[in-house]
Amino acid sequence: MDENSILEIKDLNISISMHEGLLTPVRGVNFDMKKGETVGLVGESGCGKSLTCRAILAINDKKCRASGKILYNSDEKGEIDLLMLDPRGKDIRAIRGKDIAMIFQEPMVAFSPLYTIGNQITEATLLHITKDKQKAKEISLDVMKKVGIANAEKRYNQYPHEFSGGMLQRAMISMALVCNPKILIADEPTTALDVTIQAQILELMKEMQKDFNMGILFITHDLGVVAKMCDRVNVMYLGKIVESGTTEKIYEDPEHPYTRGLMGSVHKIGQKKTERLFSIEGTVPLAMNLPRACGFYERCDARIEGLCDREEPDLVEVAPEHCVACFACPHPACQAQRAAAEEMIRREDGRTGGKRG
Amino acid sequence: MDKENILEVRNLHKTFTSKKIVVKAVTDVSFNIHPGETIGIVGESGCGKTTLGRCIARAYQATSGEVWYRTMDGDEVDFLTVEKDQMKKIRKEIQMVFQDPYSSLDPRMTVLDIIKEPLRANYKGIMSDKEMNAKVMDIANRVGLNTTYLKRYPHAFSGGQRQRIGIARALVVDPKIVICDEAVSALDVSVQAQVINLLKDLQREMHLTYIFISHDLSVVEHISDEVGVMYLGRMVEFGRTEELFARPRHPYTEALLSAVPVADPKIEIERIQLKGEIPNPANPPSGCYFHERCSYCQQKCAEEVPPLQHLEGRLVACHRAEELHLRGFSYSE
Repeated sequence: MDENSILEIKDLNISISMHEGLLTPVRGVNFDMKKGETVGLVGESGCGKSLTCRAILAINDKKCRASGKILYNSDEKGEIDLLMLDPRGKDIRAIRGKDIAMIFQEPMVAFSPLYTIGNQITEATLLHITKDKQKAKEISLDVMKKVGIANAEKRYNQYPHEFSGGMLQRAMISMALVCNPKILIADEPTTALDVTIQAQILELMKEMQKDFNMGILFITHDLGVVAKMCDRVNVMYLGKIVESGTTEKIYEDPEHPYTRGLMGSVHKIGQKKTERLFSIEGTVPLAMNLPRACGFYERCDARIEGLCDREEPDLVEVAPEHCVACFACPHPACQAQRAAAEEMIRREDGRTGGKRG
Repeated sequence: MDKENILEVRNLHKTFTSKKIVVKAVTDVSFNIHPGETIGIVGESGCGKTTLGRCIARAYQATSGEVWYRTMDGDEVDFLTVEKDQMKKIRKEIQMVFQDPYSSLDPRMTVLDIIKEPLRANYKGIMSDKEMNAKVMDIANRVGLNTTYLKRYPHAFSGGQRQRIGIARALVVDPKIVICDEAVSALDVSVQAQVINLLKDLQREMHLTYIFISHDLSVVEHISDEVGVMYLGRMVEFGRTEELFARPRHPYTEALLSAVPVADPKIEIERIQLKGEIPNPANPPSGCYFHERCSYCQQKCAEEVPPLQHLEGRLVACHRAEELHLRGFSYSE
């Protein structure tokens, strides 16, 4: 594992066995995060981005079977494969909430309505930092003030229903930061919020990142938010990363047809109005009994018949810090992959007489 | 009523009362709509944009005010006070599309029945069942639904397909005005683009007028000809979309625009920090509702409510609108 990396996900697969068949929502995901950096995970609902980040904390449902490696570089214990830990065991519980914390999408749902906000924030402190209740409260109040909750002493004893959405999200962030985590996983942290509140929360997260020097894994489908927040972006489609690179690269010159489609379907204020938005036809298919083909084949406008529906491209590096998984990409690395795939198909056809086995 | 308008909203008020609490959800809102245009209504949650839409459609009974509407036959009527038997005739001309495509369709009705229901309500005895079915097929085709699946139930459809069902249900009675309340907010971006394109195509084909309520400023900027900005139940600014986005005249509009995340890492917009949170609508501040959070606030702002006034083709409710130079988006090629 690279020394600068704090998190490395290697060939992560998640499958769920159902009556109808085997669901494979995450299929071979690879990415890493360096210390203090913000990595974006972008995709539409059902692409597996939430399952991926929940797998890091081992909080997925029991039915989800994960394989691969999730390596976490701990300061004290060195490299740990989080997937190998018992999801109910002591080891993961020592990491969960302390080294790796998470912010959830809907703050109104994520808090328990039965306990005060202070109680819920202090829970983590009592678990991980100190057994002294008074001290734990002080620590919590400190963080609450830091994230901009005015009147923290009074707010500490209030219940979630007495908070507005924006304030609750602040409370959630303070709950995540109270143990000074190394990694913060933010699963659509601002989707449920208004734009002005969203801007406040995003700025707060950036500030906190500087203060705590933590890595942020930012999961969202909002390309505007990604542009504002992330250093690097991974674009996910149907359980696979189809393009990854620095934010500038991805926005300036997206190579994968899906990334291009996503960019085109968002209207940017201040740009010349086009009569129609670019739209990707169709919908995301269900990740069940997938054939050997590019997952985006059916919706792709650059697809190559007889190739993309028979082989699946791997993620290859087309430039430093820029990887694409597409046969149609004109870059030499992709073309080499294409040639190899075509050769495979020819050989296979030769054996079966043109029919697919 | 002005000849050029299809709808004129005049001094619309809506108050909700429960026990001792009185909430002014919509206060003194007035604006006009030209036929065939799209009006965007933006604002943060709780600003009254949904209530406004529902009052216009008469889903809520407005507390006071008028909504003058030019009917298909050319009559001018106040939609809010019109007699019952005439209401029956014209109600279908103003339709709504709702936000959540999962909860706005009855799970126990087939899609065919869902789309046919407005016809049953409005054309009972006038149209035969066969004619109704033909009409449903026609509209389903137009919105891009596969007509072979119409006997299925809503659960068998994806979010984007369901929203198409909701649109078909609104359009099956040939309305003039469609109120889209956050109609694309619950959809994924790629599907959102599909539905927005569909709405635009239908508008051209069927000469529809849209009132497009949304909190997503990018979408509103794309689809609207005119935009109204609401804050705490009041319309604070109303004007042509591009002019309003390029040069806002109300400080709240400026702050709202500066908060929009633009999908381009190179564009850095300096955000205007608003002080505090949206006040409680049950207990609004004195004077201009925005004055406590406004960085341009003066003595007068705390005392007097600024009226919505004409200013260079714009409606603005701000005491200092004329002197302020506010920042918007710079439009480039």
